[in-house]
Order: sequence, then structure tokens, then C-alpha cells
Amino acid sequence: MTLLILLACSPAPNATRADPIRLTLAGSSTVQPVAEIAGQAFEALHPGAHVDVQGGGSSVGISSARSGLADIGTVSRGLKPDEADLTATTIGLDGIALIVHAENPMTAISREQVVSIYTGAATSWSSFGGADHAITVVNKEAGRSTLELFEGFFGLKDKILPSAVVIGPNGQAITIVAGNPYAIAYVSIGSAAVAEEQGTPIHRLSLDGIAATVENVGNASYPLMRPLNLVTKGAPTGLAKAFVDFVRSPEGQAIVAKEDFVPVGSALAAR
Amino acid sequence: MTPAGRDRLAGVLLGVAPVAALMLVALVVVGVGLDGAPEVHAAFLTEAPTQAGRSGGIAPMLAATAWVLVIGIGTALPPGLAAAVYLAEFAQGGTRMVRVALDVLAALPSVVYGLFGMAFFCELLGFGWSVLAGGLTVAIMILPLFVRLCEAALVAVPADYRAAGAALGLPRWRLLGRVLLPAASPSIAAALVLASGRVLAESAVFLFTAGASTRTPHGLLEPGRVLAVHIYQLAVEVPGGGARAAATALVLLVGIVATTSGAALLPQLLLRRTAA
Amino acid sequence: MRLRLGDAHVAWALRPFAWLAVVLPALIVVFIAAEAAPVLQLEGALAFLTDARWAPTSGVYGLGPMIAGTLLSGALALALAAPWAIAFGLHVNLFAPRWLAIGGRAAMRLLAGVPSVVFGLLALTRLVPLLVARHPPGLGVVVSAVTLAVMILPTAALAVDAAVAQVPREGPVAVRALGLGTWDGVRAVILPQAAANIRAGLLLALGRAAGETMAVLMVAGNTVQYPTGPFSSFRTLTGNIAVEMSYATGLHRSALFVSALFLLAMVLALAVFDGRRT
Repeated sequence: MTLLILLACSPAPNATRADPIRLTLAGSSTVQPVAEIAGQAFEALHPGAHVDVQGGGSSVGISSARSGLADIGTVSRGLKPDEADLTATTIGLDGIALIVHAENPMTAISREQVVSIYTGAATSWSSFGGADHAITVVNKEAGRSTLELFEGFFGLKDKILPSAVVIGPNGQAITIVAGNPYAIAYVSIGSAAVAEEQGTPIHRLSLDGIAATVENVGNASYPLMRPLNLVTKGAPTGLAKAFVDFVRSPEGQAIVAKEDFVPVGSALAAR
Repeated sequence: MTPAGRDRLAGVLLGVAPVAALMLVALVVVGVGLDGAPEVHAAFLTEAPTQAGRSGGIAPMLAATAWVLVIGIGTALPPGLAAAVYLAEFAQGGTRMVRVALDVLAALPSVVYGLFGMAFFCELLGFGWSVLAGGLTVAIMILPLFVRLCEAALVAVPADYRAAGAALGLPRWRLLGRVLLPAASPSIAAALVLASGRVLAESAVFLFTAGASTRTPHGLLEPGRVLAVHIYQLAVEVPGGGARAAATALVLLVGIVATTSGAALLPQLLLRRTAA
Repeated sequence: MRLRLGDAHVAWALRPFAWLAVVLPALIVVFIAAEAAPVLQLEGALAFLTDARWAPTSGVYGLGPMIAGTLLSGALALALAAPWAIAFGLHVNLFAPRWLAIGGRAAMRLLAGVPSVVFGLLALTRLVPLLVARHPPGLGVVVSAVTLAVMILPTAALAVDAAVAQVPREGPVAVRALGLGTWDGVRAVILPQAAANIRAGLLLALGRAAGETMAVLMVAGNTVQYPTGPFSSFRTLTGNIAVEMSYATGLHRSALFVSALFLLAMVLALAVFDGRRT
């Protein structure tokens, strides 16, 4: 009985989608901290507005923006040709870095070394001058743009061995590496930098001689870079537009910078 | 070895089991308390998480948990009690199918409930990720437990009460309303509390139906992150989140211990007050 | 004029609620099956067992590794928990001093209420770091089996407790009259008589282990591969659903619902073949 009453009282299906005060974002774990913190700031500026942020990965960002399940999809890559029905607004730049435990003596890695580790050709840290201990390889689950970009850049599509551990969001990779002196993973530079600032025992490896820093992403010297995008079906309108504009405003971009991403507005953002 | 000797040996060897159970409880409490206790203070309970969960409190999670609890228990109570009354008092045989169905419901894994809740409440009925979807799904989950406990409560009412009712010529339903239900109410209250404990412990169901938003839900159709889901997110996805996860676990455990002990003590407390 | 309300009316009003209980599981199974239908129609159910690997985005749907993961972790968990549960049930009923019987049962009931994520949290923050040094990554089969064992222990232990308590007193009393001890009574009478119910309780616990999601997700490693050793990273059916559902679309999502059907079949089979309790 109670069920029926509750059902009768519910609004029509999907009425919430066009809600002028509720905004739903879903997608990339890399963009998630920015989305959440910007969401809270946005709510403070627009009393009555609700900003809900879900994760799931960049492919969720694309599919939920398309299906209407989310008003804005968050994606940590550029749009693909078959995604021309969507509009992307770039809000920052990020890179992908290899990370290891703070105690790992390795500080630099080359492209060949990455390939040998992730294809299973090298299985012990002794191959790189470290202790003779098995390397715990951490890989991302499918559907994450970080995986796609990593595979694409290193030519590893379908060649990554069944790894020791498969994780989803950046935070999970960082947690595993922080707890395992023999682990290696690849994550967003921004999330790694923030974690290091908070004392998480990891450090980033420089790639082919270029340090994996936010500055190097900003001046385009770090090779493995990607844009951070807010994706909407068509140009953003209404509350979604207000939010996108907010994130691109100086206040929003300050949040982007605080999360250790490169703010838009430098010449490179035009890419 | 003499029988007495065998018994002594068996007593010692088997005794490891209950002693180990007590130690396990201590381990859980200490394990969670060591990491978590320093983080639990008034602000933890009243503030929202900040910095994407790395600091701040768990107030929105407490709210979300309260929402799904109230919706879940509130939805399960009327049909559950009605079904229990029917099974205990009015059914004439032919209840086998109902009982088997309840057993099946009780055996379903929580992830299946999560998927069903997502497909049915969130998508088909259009509630989206919401505390309503979460509450309704968990209501189905606790239904078998609740029906079983209420039925047992009714069956346990002393035969004298029924005999007295018959002697007074009371119709069944009068007997029910005036005598049986009040007599069984302490146990029914305990059943509610026990079912609440189940709701608090669930995580997979809510992840799929209520979402993982860190905002405080202010309405039925808003998403929310229940305590159990928050523990998972903090432990797995927030670097350095282990301490706050333990703190959240501590809060949740306190809530669950309160419900488990409450369920055990409630009948005693209430019976004393309603005793003839 | 007072309304004449008879028993028949009340029964008629209440009956639908009892039948609600029958409708619900049917509804659930129908829904899961409906979501699973698209890919089942395309590939057939057998593909899920015979395909070589799990690559749903490429149309390959071999659930083998996950089924193996679920069965292995469940069986190991039961192997760890069963002796403990049986020892518990026998001890608190037949050997324990009053304080230990009450305390032990209270402890088990408390453990039964602990959420699975809390066990997962403890395993992740306490057990895994212990193993990382010797057997990186620490995550994998052993930790998962231990975590699951602790989780299903209360269910199993309280079930065995009830089973032993239900054995009629005459048997053990007769054994005593013959001059033999309690333990002899256990071997000769109690265990045989309680066996069916004990088996049912243990199978129920196994079903719980197979159905567990979050705790295993935290400590299994989640690699899609057949577990090859005690410290192998692996993925269960439930973990697979939880991990991939967040981003699966179309046929991939449908395939996850198929794996839910497989899970359902496994768990219900365990529930049905428990050797009907009295």
C-alpha cells in the first residue's frame, strides 16, 4: 500500500532531467575533484542549485551526456570523430605520469622501459637496477580514457599483459602504489601531485627525460598530455551553461589550478 | 583415554572457536577504533566532506543513510506485517509457495538487488539515482526477514490469550487487534530494529540505486551516499582515506551495535511495561 | 449501523500482501532476464561458458575466469569457516561454561551484523600490508578467502549452533547411560543427527560467500584471469558486475545482466540442494 502511495506521489519519469535547479555531472575520475569542489562553490553562489557528481570513467561521461542521464559529462580526453553529436568545453589540461612508491629508487623511465614492464617482458625491478623483486603492474579498467591514451601513446593496445591489479579511478591506483613498494601505475599528473602534497608516499617518474610536472604540461614539453572537457549534448544551455561558464571563470580556474591541472587561458588551451 | 579425558580434550580444542569469536570482535573494534577514533569528533558528524572527501565530515552520508532507512523500513512494514499476520492467523494451508518465495528472496545476492533496483526503480520508473530507489529496493531485501520475525512473534503469543479470546467469543480480527498484536508488539519492534541493522549494513544495493553523490539529499528523488558506500570509496579511491574510512566505519558500527542490542533488549523492556 | 466484519473479509484483505512475496522474486528474475535478453538472443547462453576470454567490448563473453574466481574463493572461505563453525556449535551447546556460551553467541551475533565493507576495510588496511612485503601485491585469492571466511562465519556458526541444539536429548543421554562421555555422544549421535541441518547451514553460508560483492572487490585485485596461485589477482562474478556496470553500455551491459543470471542460478541451486531441513 505504502509503495502505491509513494509511486502515485512521484513526479513523471525524467521530470528531473529538465529541472532548472538540479545539475548532474558524471564521468571521469580525473575531473571529479574539480567537478565536486566547483560544484560546492557554484552552489554557494547560486542558492537553491544542486550539483551532483558521479564517477564511472570518461566513457560514462560520454554515454550519460548522450542519454540525458547527466546534464554534463566529464571527460579526460578530446572527443572522437564518432562523438560529433556532443559539444566539448575544455576546462584544463592534464598529463599522464607513471608513479611508483616513494621508496622506489627509480626516478626516471623511458618509453622502452614502460613497454617492457607493461607487456611483461621485464618482470623484476632488478632489470632497472633495483632489488630483485617482482613488479606489481597496475592497469586501468576498460572504459577509462587514461587507459586508452596510455595504450595509444605507447602502442600497447591489446598487448598489456593480464596485470597484477586492475583498478578504476586514479585514487585507487595511488592508494595501491602508496601501499606497495614494488608497484607501478599510471595516473593523472594532477591527482598524483595533489596526493604527494598531502603526504601520500608516491613519486612521479620523468618520461624520456622530461619531468612529469604541472609546469611541463603547461609548457607542452611533457609528451603525454590530454585536455579535460565538460561535454554536453549540443551547446550548453541554462544551468549547465552557467556551471561551465563558472568553471572557465577566474574563480573556477583557480580551483582547476589548485587541483594541479593547467588552467585554460594559456595559449595551449586553444588545442 | 577415558571418556572424561576425551571430554576434557574436546572441551579445550573446541573451545578455541567461541574464544576466537570473542577475540575477533575485539580485533574488529580495535582495528577500526585505532585508525578511526582520532577522527571522530562533533565536526566529523555535522560537516560535509570537503576537498573531494579527503577532509571534512560525513553529515551528508548520515542523512542519506537515514533517508534510505526510513523509506526502507516504512515501505516494508505494512506489507510485511500484513503478510505475517495472514501467514500466522488466516492461512489455511497452501502457504508453501509463499514461503518458498520468501526463501528465494532471502537468498538473492545483494548485487542482484542492486541491478534490479537500478533497472526497475531508477530507469523504468524514472526515479534516477535516488534515496527513494535505494529505500524501495532495500525494503524488498528485508521483507523476508521481517515477515519471518513477525510471524514468529505472533506464533509465540501464549495459547492462553487465544483461548481466552475464544472463550469471550471474539472474532478473529478483534482478537488480533486487541490482544495478539499488542502482545506481539515488543517482538515486532525488535524485528523492525533488526531489519534496520540489515539496512545499515548494505552497500552494493545502494551503490547501484542511490548513487554516490556527496551532497546531502533533501528530497526523495535526490541521490545520496550511504555510510557503507562512503567507507568503500574512502578506503579504495581516496589516497590516505583509510583513517576517515575507519572513522566512518566506527560510526556505522556504533549504530549497528545499538540496533542489535536494542533488538535483543527491546522485548524485555517493553514486556515489562505491558505485562498484565 | 456497525459494519459486520468477518474473518473472511480480513483474510481477503491480507492475502494480497502474502502473495506480494511471491510476485517480487518473479518480478526480479523477469527484469534481470529482460535486461539480459539482447545479448542472449545474439550469442546464446553457451557462449558465456565456452568463449575463451572476457572481452565484452569485442563481442567475446567468456565468464570462465569469473566463475572460477567465485567458486574458488567461496570454496576456500567455506573450508576455512566450516571447522570453526562446527567447533563453535558443538562447544557452546555441549561443553561451554555458561558465560562462554552466552558470550560466544553474543559475539557471533555482533559479527553477523558487521557490514561486509568493514571487513573489507580491515583486510585492506591490516592484512594486505602484511602480505605486500612477501607476496605482492597482497591482494588476491588468499586475502579474499580469509575475508569471506570471517564474513560467513557467523551465519555458519549460528546455523550449526541451532542444528546441534535441535538434536533430541534422548540419544546423548543414552550414550551417557552407557558410561561414555559427551564427546562420544557427539560422534555417535549428535553429529549424525544434526548432519542434514549442518550441511544446510554451511551451504547457506557458501551462498552468502558467492553473493558477496564489496568486500571481495576491495581485496581481490580484480584482474580478469583464471586464478593461478594463492596470491593471484582475480575477479568474481559479483565483482565483475560491480566494476563494469558503471561504464557498460548496450550489449556489454546486457552481458553483465547475463552474468547476474548465472550468479542467481548458482545461489538458488545451493539454496535448493541444501537437503530439505525439517
